[in-house]
Amino acid sequence: MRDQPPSSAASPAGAEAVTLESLLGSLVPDASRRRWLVVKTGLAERVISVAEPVVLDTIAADRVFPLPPLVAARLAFNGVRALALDPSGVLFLVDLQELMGVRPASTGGG
Amino acid sequence: MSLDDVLARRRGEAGTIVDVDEPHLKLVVFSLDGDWYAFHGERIREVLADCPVFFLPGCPPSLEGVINVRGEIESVLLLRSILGYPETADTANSRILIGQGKAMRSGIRVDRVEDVVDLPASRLEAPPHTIPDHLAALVLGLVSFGGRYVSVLDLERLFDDYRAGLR
Repeated sequence: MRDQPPSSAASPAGAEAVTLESLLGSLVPDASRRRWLVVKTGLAERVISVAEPVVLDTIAADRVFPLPPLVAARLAFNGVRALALDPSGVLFLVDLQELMGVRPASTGGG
Repeated sequence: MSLDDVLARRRGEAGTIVDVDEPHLKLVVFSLDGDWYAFHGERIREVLADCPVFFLPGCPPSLEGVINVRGEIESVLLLRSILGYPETADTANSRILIGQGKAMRSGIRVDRVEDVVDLPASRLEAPPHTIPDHLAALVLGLVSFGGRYVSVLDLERLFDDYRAGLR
């Protein structure tokens, strides 16, 4: 994770940085302070710009749930594979490989 | 045949139980804006009175969020919104029905649960031709109950249509 964008907003591999919002779809980019995540999926490397706050957290496995089928069918965001219940609400757990097109989209929860 | 035999036979006839095992419908009757609806009872696993709903961004307004039902996460549909009723702030008596379809399960928010009833299946009437278009595909039939007509809704169709984005 970086505080500053990579030079020319590109990853060390030369790829252009993209916003998380554009990958998820349907979200207006957040104008708040941003961080840059350098993501490696297999041999590919990509830089994703995300809005603050960014924290490293651990979630117990028993707090992770598959998407209910109707949520999976109607959710406007790409790449969401599961939900985690947190005292502050619900977290979307995003599959980066699916979000970045490395893996085909799943067919939903259940 | 003696008189005793005749009288015994008569008593036996009088005591014969005629089997009128007419099929019954168990219905969970609820209301939306004063209109009464029902789902088949075997499709409703439980009725929740007070359950915190977690909002999910990125979902249609008719999908209120998700709830945690003893460790299972269920979606919650706003039936008012799906059936075209305006939003209401009056949720004091609202309940969440946990509906079980063949392939999926979901919560369904209704304004109020009126009753759970057992009625003869013969009371179910075909829906009238005047039923609004947006309801026509969902209504299995009408039953008269408590001086009102109750529209019996097809839970399976509701889920299928919602999943397909048709509602």
